[in-house]
Order: sequence, then C-alpha cells, then structure tokens
Amino acid sequence: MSETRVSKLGETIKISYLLFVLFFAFVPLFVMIVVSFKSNEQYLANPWFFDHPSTWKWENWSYAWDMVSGYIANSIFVSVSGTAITLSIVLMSSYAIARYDFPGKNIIFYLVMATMFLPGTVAALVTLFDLLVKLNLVNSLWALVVMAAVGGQVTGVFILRNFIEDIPKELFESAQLDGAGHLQQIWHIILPLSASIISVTCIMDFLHSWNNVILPLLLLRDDALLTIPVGLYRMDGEYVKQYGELMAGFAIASVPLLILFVFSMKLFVKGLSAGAVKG
Amino acid sequence: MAEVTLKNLVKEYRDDKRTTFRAVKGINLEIRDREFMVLVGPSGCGKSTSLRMIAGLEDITDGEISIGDRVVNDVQPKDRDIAMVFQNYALYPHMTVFDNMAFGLKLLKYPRDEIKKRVDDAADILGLESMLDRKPKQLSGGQRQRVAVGRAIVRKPKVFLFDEPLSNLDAKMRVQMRTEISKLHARLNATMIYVTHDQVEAMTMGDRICVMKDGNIMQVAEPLDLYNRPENMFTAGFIGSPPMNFFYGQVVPEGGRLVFVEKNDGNAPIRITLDDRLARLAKNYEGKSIVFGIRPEDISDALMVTHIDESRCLTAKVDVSEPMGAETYLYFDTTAHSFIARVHSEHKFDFGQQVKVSLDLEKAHLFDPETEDVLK
Amino acid sequence: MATPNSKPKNSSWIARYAPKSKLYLALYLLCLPTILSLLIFSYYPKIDVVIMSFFRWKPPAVKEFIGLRNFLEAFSDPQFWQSFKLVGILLMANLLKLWPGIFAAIALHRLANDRLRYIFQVCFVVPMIIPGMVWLLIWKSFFEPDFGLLNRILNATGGMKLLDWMDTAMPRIASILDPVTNGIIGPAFGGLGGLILVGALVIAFGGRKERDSGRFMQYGLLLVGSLIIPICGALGLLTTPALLLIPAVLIVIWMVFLARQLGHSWIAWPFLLLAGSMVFWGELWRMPLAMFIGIAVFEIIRSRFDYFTGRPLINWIGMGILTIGSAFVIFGQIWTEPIEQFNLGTPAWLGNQDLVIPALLFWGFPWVGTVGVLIYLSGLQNISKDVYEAAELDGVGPMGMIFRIELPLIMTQVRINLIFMTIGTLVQYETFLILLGPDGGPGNKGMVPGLYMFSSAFSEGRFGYACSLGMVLFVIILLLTIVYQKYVKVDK
Repeated sequence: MSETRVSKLGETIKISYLLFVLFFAFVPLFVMIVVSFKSNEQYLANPWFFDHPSTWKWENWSYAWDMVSGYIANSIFVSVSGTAITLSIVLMSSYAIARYDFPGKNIIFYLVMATMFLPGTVAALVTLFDLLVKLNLVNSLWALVVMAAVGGQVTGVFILRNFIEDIPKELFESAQLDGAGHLQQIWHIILPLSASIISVTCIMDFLHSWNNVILPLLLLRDDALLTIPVGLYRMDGEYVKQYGELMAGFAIASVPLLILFVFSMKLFVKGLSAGAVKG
Repeated sequence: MAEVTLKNLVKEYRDDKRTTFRAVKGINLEIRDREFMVLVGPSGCGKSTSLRMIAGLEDITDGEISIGDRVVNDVQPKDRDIAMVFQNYALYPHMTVFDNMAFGLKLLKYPRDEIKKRVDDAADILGLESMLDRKPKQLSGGQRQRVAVGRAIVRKPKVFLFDEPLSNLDAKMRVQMRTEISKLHARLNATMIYVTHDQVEAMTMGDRICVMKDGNIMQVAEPLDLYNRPENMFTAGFIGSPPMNFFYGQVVPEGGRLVFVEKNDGNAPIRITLDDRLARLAKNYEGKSIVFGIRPEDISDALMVTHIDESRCLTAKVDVSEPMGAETYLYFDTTAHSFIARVHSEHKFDFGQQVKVSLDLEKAHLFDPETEDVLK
Repeated sequence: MATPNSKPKNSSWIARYAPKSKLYLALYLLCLPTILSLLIFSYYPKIDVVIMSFFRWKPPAVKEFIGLRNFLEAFSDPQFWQSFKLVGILLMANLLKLWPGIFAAIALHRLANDRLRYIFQVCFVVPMIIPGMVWLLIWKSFFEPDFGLLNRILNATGGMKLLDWMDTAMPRIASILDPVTNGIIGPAFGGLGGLILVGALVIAFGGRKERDSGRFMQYGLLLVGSLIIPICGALGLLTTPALLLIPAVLIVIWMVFLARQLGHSWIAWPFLLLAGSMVFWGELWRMPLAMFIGIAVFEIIRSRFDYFTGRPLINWIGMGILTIGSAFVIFGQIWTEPIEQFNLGTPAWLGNQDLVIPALLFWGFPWVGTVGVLIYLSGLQNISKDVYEAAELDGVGPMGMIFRIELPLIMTQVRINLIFMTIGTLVQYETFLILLGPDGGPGNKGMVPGLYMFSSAFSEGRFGYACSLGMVLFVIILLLTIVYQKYVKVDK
C-alpha cells in the first residue's frame, strides 16, 4: 500500500511484532552457530553468545564435516535423481494426456488424481515397506529415488497438464509439421515454455525428498548410505552428546539448500506458496 | 509437380454421446500445380478442417487426399512436403526469429550453412533481416506474421497452407500483407491453399476460389467468374459487399411479356418487366415462385441515367442513406424486402424520400427458390 | 505403407482406430512409466493394506486370516483412543496457534516500505530452507533438562519460580472448582464436555438464516439424528459387534436426508453428534436434550429479536458457554496434582509424563508457519485498495481493519490453512517419533495414531494390526478430505 500518510506508531508496532516473531524463528539458528564453536563445558557455562575467538573449537566443524559430508552426498543423489526422474516421467505423461484424446486417457488421469485423494502414504507404510523388502530395495538409495519419483507424480501431472493445455495447440502442430516427434515436442516446446512452473514443481519435489525421514529411517541400515535427516538423527542419538559437534553438523547440513535458495529465491517463494495452495 | 486432389473427402467428429457431426461432407476438389486456391466460407463451413486434413493434422474419416502423385492419407505431416501458416502465427515464444525459422530445418538435420543461407534468403524476401535476433514478443503483428510466413518459406515446400493468416491483423496491415502474400506467390511459384472467411481476401488473392458452406463446396471458379456468374444464391450472397439483393416473388405473363412480381402481401408489390435474356431463363417458371437477384451496383439512381427505360425502373422509399464518399449506399424498404443500391453521391437523399431507381437487367440473376441454384 | 485402396463406407470401430493405432501406441508408451510406478508403488500397497488388515501378520513367518479381529482390538485398545485424545488436544491448540501467523501476515502486508516488506518476506522463507530435522533436533535440545535453553531462560527470568508457585496454586484452584464441576455442571449438563457441546450447538443454530416454516422439519430431522445412537444403545445394538451395522446404516440414511434438507451446511452436524455420543457415552439420553436446548435458545431469542440483533446475541451466548466450559477444563481438569519438577530448576520437559503435552504445545513458539503466512499473504494481496479506502472513509481504524476487513476477506485462506494443519496433525508423526521415540515418550503420553501404527509394526512386529490401525486412520483422513473438498469448493 502506498499511503500518503504513514502512521509512525503503526509502523513501529508492525515492525516490532514482525521482529519479535522473526527473533524467535531465528533463535534456533543463532544458537546453532554459537554452540557449534563450543565444547560441552563452554556451552554449559555460557549458551547465550560467542566466547572469545581464541577459545573457539574449530575442530567441531572438521569433525562434523567428516560425519555429515557423506550424508549430504547421499541426500543430493537421492533428491536430484528423484526430481529428475519425476520430471521426465511427468512431462511425458502430462504431454500425452493434455495434448491428445485417446481411449483410456481419462482413466489414466483419474488413476493419477485419485492418489491425491487417497491419503495412503501413512496408512500404507507397512505394506509399502513389505513391498520394498520383497523387491530387495532395502538398504538402497534407489528405493528412496523411486519413492521420490512416485510421490512427485500427482501434483506434477496435475499442474503440468493444466499448463500444457493452455499452450496454443498450433505451436505443437507447427512443430509436428516441422517434423518434431513427441519427445522433440516435449523438449523443444514444453520444456522452455513451462520452465518456471517446472522449476517450481521441481523445488517442491526436491524439498519433499530432502526432508523425508520415515522411509530412509526404515530402509537404510548402513551408515554410509544415510541421508541428511536420518544421519543427523543418528548423530543426535549417540550416547554422550557433544553439542558443539552436533550443532556444527546441523549447520553444515543446512548449507546445500541455502545455496540453492540464494540462486532461486523467487522460485522458492512461488513454489512454497504453490505447494501451500495445492496441499 | 504439386497438384492437390481431394476425393470424396469426409470428416466426422464423434462426441461422447456417440452423435456424429459431419464437418466435411465428401468434397471433391482439384488444385492445380502452382495455383493460389482460396477456400472461403462462413465459420463452421469446414474450410479449416479441410486444410488441416491436407496438412495431416486431422485424420481423414473417409476419402482420399493426394499431393503430387502420392496419396498422403497415411503419410506423416512432416513427410507431406507442405508448410503451414497459422492464424495466431504459432511462433515459439522462447526462440528468436532466426531460431523460429531455422527450427524445422534443424530437426531435418540440415547443415548449418544451408540453414543460415535459407533463413537469410527468406528474411531478405520478407524484409526481416534486422529482426533475426529478436523474440516474437518484441515484434508487431505484421512482423510476426512475416516470420510465420518465413518459417514456411525456408522449408521450400511444394504446397503452402495458410489458415486465416491475416485475421489477427488490423485493417491496414491486412491490406499490405495481402499484396505481399500475392507477390510471394508469384515469386515462389508454389501451390498455395489459403483459408479465409473474408471474401475480399478471397477475391483479391485467389487464382481460383472455392466457396464452401456446411461442409459442401458451393462453387469453384476464378474470382470474376464467381462474382459475375454465381451458381447459387449462397455464392451470390456471400461474394460481394454489400451483398446481392434477393427478391422473392413470382413470374407472371403480362401483355405478352414476363413480369416478376414481388411477393408482398397486401401492399403494392414491385413489378419488374423481364428482358429477353431473363424471360428465356424464366420461361419454365411461369406462375411459380422464383428469386430475382441483383447486385447493389446494378441499381442506379434514375436521375443519373441518360436513357431511362421506364420498364426497368421502380420507385421505393429510402430507409437509410450511407454516404461513403465516392458513392452512397441507399437502403430501401418495400415492406416485404429491403434492398441496397450503390449510387453516385451527387444527390442527397433523405429518410422516407421516394426515389426512382433503374435496374441493370443484363446483370441480374434468377434463382430457383427450392434448389437455390441459378437459372441458366 | 500407404494403402490407397478404398475404405469401407461405414467406418467400423477398427477402421476408425486402426490408422491411429501407431499414435495411440506412442501415447500409451509415454504414459507407461506413470501408470506402472503408481500401480506398483502407490496402488498396490494401498490395496494390500486393506487386505492385510484382516490378517494376523508377523513377517516373515505368520500370515493368518482372522477377519475383523484386528479392528475389534483397535476399537477397544485404550492406547489407540488415548492417541486420538492427544490429536484432539493438538487440534484445539491449532485454533490458537493460527493467530500469530495471521497477524504476522497482516503486519507484513501493511508495511508501508516496500523494500522492508520484501526483506521480511524473505526472512520468513529462510526457515523453510533449513532441513526439518535440524529444527527438530535444535528444539529438542532446548528441552534438555540441564543444557536446554528453555530451563535456563526460565531460571534466568524467574519463570521457573512462577511455575513452581503455580505448581501449588493450580491444584488448589482445581480443588476449589471441583465441587462446582461435579455438583452443578455434572448433573445439569453431563459434565464439562456436555457444557461445551451445548455451547457449540447454540452457535451452530445461531448460524441459521431464515425463520421459515420448513425449519421445524429440520429440527425434527436433527432430533431424530441425535436419537439414533441412544435408542440403538438402549436396544443393545452398540455392544455386540455384529449388530453395529444397523446403527451405522441408520446414520448413513439419516445423513443422506440431512444433506438433502440442509444443502451443503449439513456437514457439521454428523461431527457434532459424533462428539456428542463420545461425550455422553454413559448417558446417551443427554444428546437429544442438548440438541433441544440448542434449538430452544435459538427459537426464544429469535422470537424476541430480529435477525440482526438476534444472531450476534445467540453467538455471544454460545461463545459464553464455550468459554466457561473451557475455563473449567483448563483450570479444573488439567493441573490437578502438583508435578513437583520445578523446585529444582531442571524439569525434564520431554521426560516427565505430565510435562510432555505442555512441551508439545509450546513446540514451535511463536507458531508462525512460513506456509501459512504465504497463504494469508496471497489472500491479502487480492484485497483491492478501494476496499481499504472505503473502509477508511467509513471510519474504520487500523485495529478495526483487521477484524472488519482483512480477516473476513481472507477467511478462505484461513480455512484452507486450518484444514492443512488439521490433516497434517492427524498424519504427521515423525516429530513425535524423533522427540519421544517409538513408544511416545514417558507414559506413552506423546503417542499419536500414526506413531502407534508405526510402533505396532516396527517395534512389536504386529504388521497386520498396524495395517488395521492404518485403515482406521485412512478412513478418518478420507472423511476429512471430503469435508475439505466441500469447504474449499464452496469458496471457489
């Protein structure tokens, strides 16, 4: 709002409320950084602020890096390949569904959509686990990749189908006359035209598999295979806790997404709101 | 050689309720090599559907399409040796003008030099040299249309297909592009099939015109033939602006001559004494109903005619007068019919004024009201 | 390839599809990965869970069909009901936790400085970027008895002393309120739950618009609905599992009639009655009575006042009853015994069975969810400037603006967010698993339905039982999703 009269008092109240809220939102992050430089004794003595830099325990960070870097690599592998597979599968099917009429098209579409209304991931966890055991996917990152790809289908098809239907069909016909096959039409027309909506859905999928806890917790046994959430959970569960190392590990684990965020801030905001609205 | 031949071409759409809709009802059309053929008709007449079947974008319910000597019913669109220009241009918004034009060639794996040469040639023809690096968004409507045409040119197809390419342009641009496409046809020497609903475009551009209505071909003829010798009431009414006037009535013998009497209950009907040519045409219709058709420009202000033949004159009340500058459109009302005359602008006409007009019977037509065909 | 022979005139099915078969094949191939992956990894487990819920299943050895016994056990399993009670408490808390986010969105939206607003908006997104597990574990460390910041803050600010004082004061208040609860509210309303239900019913009736003559038909229908369960109970249909089908069918039939009579506003009533039958389980006759009181309050007030003064009055009465009821619950029912943890200054928030639920409620203070704020903002941005200016000309102040303009206009978004929170609360159990372990912490106080399912399967190895728990949860979520579809559609 661009009001001519800006009430000083009103602004102060608004800003101080927001600052209050944000303060508490950021306290955990601040604490994380502060404690990551402390030993347990220092933490017990003064948890509020940094000690003198000469007493900083940099070794917390190097120890944590040794622990967490493997988890990060696993998480990146799972999330990136899961998102990429989701995207390619979703592009193909939503292209077919949005652009052509063919027998069974509606059945396929409802097959996809129905999973949105059958909230099964919680209820069917037990049988899903059983299935993955039978398929010999236990203790394998591929299980997580596959499940990420399955989970992203529904919203992906829903959003992309609507988007592709809105692309003028002459564009496709023109490409068809130029000799482009189905995959070429997807590659040359849909991909560039829907880049922003695709990246939004990709970010949603990426975040989702990045934060997934239960499945990796159930499926992964080897320490070398753990993803970030499970890895951190395991670090936290150790008998004698070294809070400094733990917090340094948390901080390191947060970095990859922060980097991604810096480069795609707008898309993130959009993706989160879109994800919020679709549920 | 690129004749396009349509044989008994049928297109049916079937909706969910299992009702079929016939968009094209078995048309036969031969388009000669290097001909500019215009398909014209009101919306929903099946002209675009026919074009899209030729392109291969719609499949053919029944009948046969051949391009050159080849039946193309089951040939992929890309292998038909055609190019198409769409109504909304269908430019790829994410590609530059150059890439738009080069896209088809890239897919065909042409060498880079060849692509560049062809695109540059096309750009040269269309005056797009300075815009090759722009995106479609940065172009005006006319420029976009040119790019769309250029995209067709670079492929050097045997047949160009145009689907209402000018209808998204403003009036002035349309006139300009019209002549450009005509010039292009002369220059490229290719077969062109052009779909439009605008009869002015059809008349000005086509070597021959195919008039369609409700999935049927009404008439195929050269522009002036179509104008002067329409074969049915639809063509007569569709081509020409303002359209031909039709009077419904009867032919009755009167004093040895045949007279057309307007069907006008209770009021004084218009009576037109037929001349020898028309009388010969109408001789089988004595006492039967008939339609008398005459174009507005063949009705003139009697005061401007030097030798007035009273038998060809009639007097009617002016309803509206529209001075267009060079000429004036007079809308008359006979209580049963209204008709339009294009007269010289020398006189000023008032609402309700009785004006005497003279009909040029040499250019009048008679139609059978049942079949709507012209009497020959 | 091209066969130019003449095709049959009356194109048969084969002739219609044969030329397209190549295209169709390509399209099916394009859809194949989606279909296959969904069938295998989404549909198969979901169908399997339905089947396996009828089995005693302990992989790899045991797999034995036992009919409905899993479900019967689930319904009589106190731990399972206990977990829903916790969900109920968390859902109630959601209603309060909604507000900070709404206010934050409004404050953000109203900031005059565009750049400042953008900076704040980005700051609100940043927390989403930190992995959920990091938040969870840091917050978990806050609750540690010795190291945890919460205890240190409480000790430093004197909050711990306050809590210690309340530890003796609150039970005393509870003992003072107890005679009122048991002596007056109990006999009159069937307990505090009954009082709250009456308040809810009064509000529900206050929402009625017209006083047309058709309303008596609706009253009749609602009273009949409230009588179904008591009468079935009196006939003994509720205690034998095999006969449970009869009341179920009756209720479904009643719901269909209700939907036809009331249009889309019927959806709240079955839930109110369900709540009623839970609250009045021992004295089911109170349910129609409560319904009757609701109707009576509405009719009496509406016969004396017109719609515009009557409706707020009814709402005030309902809200008043609700507030009194809730106050009695909060002060009289929760803190009835001293916890005796605060005097040492190191209460174990997640390790004491009386402190687990308060700790869970405090979780995530100040409860401003990024997603919620973004949803509200999108709603606020749709409010046109004219509306603000018109309201300003009408003399609405800055605070009035919140309740008269902004809140009503973002009601859709609030509702959407509330629904997400509700479903999320029902489904989500990772938090509880990580904070409290698979047993739900001390005294199983932090057990939510999802966690119970998880631990039945993966700690106790009772896969079949877990499947039936999953099914129950599934049906509840499905019902909620239907409700949610209904509400969101109404506003679109």
